[in-house]
Amino acid sequence: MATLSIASAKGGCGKTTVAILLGAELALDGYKVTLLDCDLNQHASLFGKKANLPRLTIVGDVTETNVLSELRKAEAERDVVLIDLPGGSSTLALKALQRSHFVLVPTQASLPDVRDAMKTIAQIDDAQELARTPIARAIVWTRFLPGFESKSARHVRESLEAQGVSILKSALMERAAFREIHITGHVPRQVDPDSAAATNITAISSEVLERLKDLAEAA
Amino acid sequence: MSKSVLPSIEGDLAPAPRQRVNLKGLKPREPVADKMVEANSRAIGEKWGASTQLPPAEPPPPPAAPVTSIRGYIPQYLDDELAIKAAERRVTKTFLIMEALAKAGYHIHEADLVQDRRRVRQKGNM
Repeated sequence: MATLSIASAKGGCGKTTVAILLGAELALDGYKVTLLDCDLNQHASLFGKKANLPRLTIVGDVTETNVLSELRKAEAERDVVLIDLPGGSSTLALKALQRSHFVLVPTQASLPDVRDAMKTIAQIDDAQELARTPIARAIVWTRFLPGFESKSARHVRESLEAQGVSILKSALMERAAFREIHITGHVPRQVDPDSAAATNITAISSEVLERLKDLAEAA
Repeated sequence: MSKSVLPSIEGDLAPAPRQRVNLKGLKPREPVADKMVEANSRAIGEKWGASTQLPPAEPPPPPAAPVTSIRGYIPQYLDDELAIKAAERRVTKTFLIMEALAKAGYHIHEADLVQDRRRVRQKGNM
């Protein structure tokens, strides 16, 4: 089983969208997935109420007090546990990071996002040091505009890539289909498996699974 | 220039199901006491100014005051009684006297009411 946190000190960078889409994709692939919704806004839980994904369980109201016990419970029963963390720096997030195999850091190609993403990466380093266990991590670009990259976005992206930080090759594109999931409770693969949006998620989840496979083989 | 025949792509056209990744090799993280995870989170959180719902850490006890020595004479039977009580309670005679003084209303800080100062010194030397 694998425990993945979706974390960033920045709010609004697409953590919950990534968590839902990744959780749904893995569930549709046949994995038993639990998503722990630690975000105060509880958008993932609200999606869960509309969704029809038998292998995806979304646990709401996960707080600082119960995050470790909920995590243990989920880890005992499921193939994959995703933790959707709140924005900002919090000891709740730091607890989750210490217990994760892998941390996905969603980031838009803007300086404030990247600055906060690097802060999150530094916190993962600190958590790794204190927990005395390696915590794999990767940045995933979010809200990437299809077919267009502004000068500033390219500058920020290239500057971050030059830092040698691990970054997924696939970016989460800016698509209406991703916003619609909250309205319909259906993810793109359920609506149209051949759509660009569905293909986008499959590419991201394939990369994440590849990283998890490497971790499983190295364990 | 002769036209070369391109290889067949028939095999590429057959949709291949995604292979399921075996995650059984990944075990949950080593069990660690929740208190330890909490302490780590608090330490990192203080460095980064993280918001927290953790209860505030207990303030460290105030340092013990410097001590001084007094000499005096007490009846032998009282010294005997103090020695027996001290042995029974595994404390020092000094502690029994200070405890009695505190009960009588003398102001003694809790940090200075040490049951056995010799044990504290030994621990400090370890």
